[in-house]
Amino acid sequence: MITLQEIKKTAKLAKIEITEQEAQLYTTQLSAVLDWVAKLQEIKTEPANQTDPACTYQRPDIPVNFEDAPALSAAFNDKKDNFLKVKKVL
Amino acid sequence: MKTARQILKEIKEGKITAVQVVEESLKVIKELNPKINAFLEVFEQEALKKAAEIDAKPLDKRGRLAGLPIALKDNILYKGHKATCASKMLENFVAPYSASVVEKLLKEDAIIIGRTNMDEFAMGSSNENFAFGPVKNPHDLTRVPGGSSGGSAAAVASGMVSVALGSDTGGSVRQPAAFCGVCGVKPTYGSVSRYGLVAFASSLDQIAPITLDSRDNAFILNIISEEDKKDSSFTKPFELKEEDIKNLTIGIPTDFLAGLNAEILKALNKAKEAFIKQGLKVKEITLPYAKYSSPCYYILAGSEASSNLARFDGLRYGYTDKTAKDLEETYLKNRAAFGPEVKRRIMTGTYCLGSAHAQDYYLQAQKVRQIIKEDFKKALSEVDIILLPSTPSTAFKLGEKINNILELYLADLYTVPANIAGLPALSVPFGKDKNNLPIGVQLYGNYFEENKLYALAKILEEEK
Repeated sequence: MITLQEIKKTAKLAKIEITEQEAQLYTTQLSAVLDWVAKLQEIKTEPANQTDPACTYQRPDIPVNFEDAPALSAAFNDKKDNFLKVKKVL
Repeated sequence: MKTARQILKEIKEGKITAVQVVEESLKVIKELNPKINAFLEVFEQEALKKAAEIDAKPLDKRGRLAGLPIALKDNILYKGHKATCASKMLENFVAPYSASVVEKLLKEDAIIIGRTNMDEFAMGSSNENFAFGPVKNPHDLTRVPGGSSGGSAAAVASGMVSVALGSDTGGSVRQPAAFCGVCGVKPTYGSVSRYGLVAFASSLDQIAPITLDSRDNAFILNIISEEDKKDSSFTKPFELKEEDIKNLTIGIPTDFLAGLNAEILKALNKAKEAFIKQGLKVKEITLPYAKYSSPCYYILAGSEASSNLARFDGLRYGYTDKTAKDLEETYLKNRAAFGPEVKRRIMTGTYCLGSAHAQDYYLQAQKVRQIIKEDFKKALSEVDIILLPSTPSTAFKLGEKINNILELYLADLYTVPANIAGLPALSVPFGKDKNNLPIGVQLYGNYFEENKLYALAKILEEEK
């Protein structure tokens, strides 16, 4: 179960603007989803079986230059002198 | 419909040119795509030009896929071409580089003919989560093709192409393959590079081929599975070889099949009989935790998506709302461009990762993931292959489940465990139901044992 207030807070944390109508709809829908996935809590688990080896492969982090920088800056929505331009932060 | 092998053989023998193959493919697309909506864009002129170049090449200089048209799911980057993930967020995004799998296809002289429709950001199992219209099932236009690689599966099933690439995070290749009556695999986690695939849930995502039969599937997987330093999860390539299947044992997880649709159960039993007829042993097994795979998946995939999709801020690329006053509002308004299912998944993940809930949801799901893996490890120590249906039902009607999210989520019931456990799984078409809709059966194998899956698939293909 998730409340309307929690949905609004979650949307804000996810940085997604939602309308009042969406907030109401997602409250119902996410409540159903969260109640369903909460089924996992009925399984007794040990702290040890937490890490997933599939996510722990390690490789050296070696930077390489991207060969086509202009292709990246071409996608900028706003730019000045080939730098990304954004709205004021504060 | 010709398989990729037939087409390549005919080109090689000079019976047909690459240009003719591309023209034929374009003709079918023009005729059927207005009804099916499998392709979002077709690279017509470019494909014809590339085909002419291949025709001009001497035989010994041609790659292994010379002249073969291949379609790409719209979340796989192809330099200089749009990659939209069927989302308003990326409507005008042009890929600045190609995915490693695309580089491999091009190196072998394949012809990328277009990009296929999908559930937005690969989230869905019906192709009804879209910015650019739904895909229809070629077997019945009133039904869904499955998802999220629904466009790729429908393109192959309708004869537009013989090969299409998709991506499988929880069944997104196998489930639409089953609904459309074609062959789809989810290779072992770590056997195909994801560099250039738009990330959804990185501990689950795999790129994979959709083809008309299992031999084509093995052939294409062999080509795209190659070591790549650009994907740190890459472990080992798939090497195609003949497999001796004489002494294999097939496991049937009776507990996981409880309540299965009667027609699909009948197909499964028929598959079992076909294996017995070939001298294979069959054994009943249990997978007591497999039923928890779906709820486990929706927590983990949502959580990973909330992190992966944080990159879409509409600043460096993507949708931008010009009315925002400051940076915070820019983020909020730009990200409102996501469709409803993507918003739901991101918010589910954000909630499950939040400090108040992480212990009960995300961390618990990680622990359960290990238990599910152990479940399969134990089963696969007793048997070589696990036989499962690909889907709990055949293709359902468009709009039938769109308002019932949980029912839609359960369409992945039998495909999700392979992603959770990282195991390879292959969906093979096997028979039809009373509405003449394809049924898919699925073979799960041990890590890096795709060859066994393909060998057994041949038995099913010959049985039909």
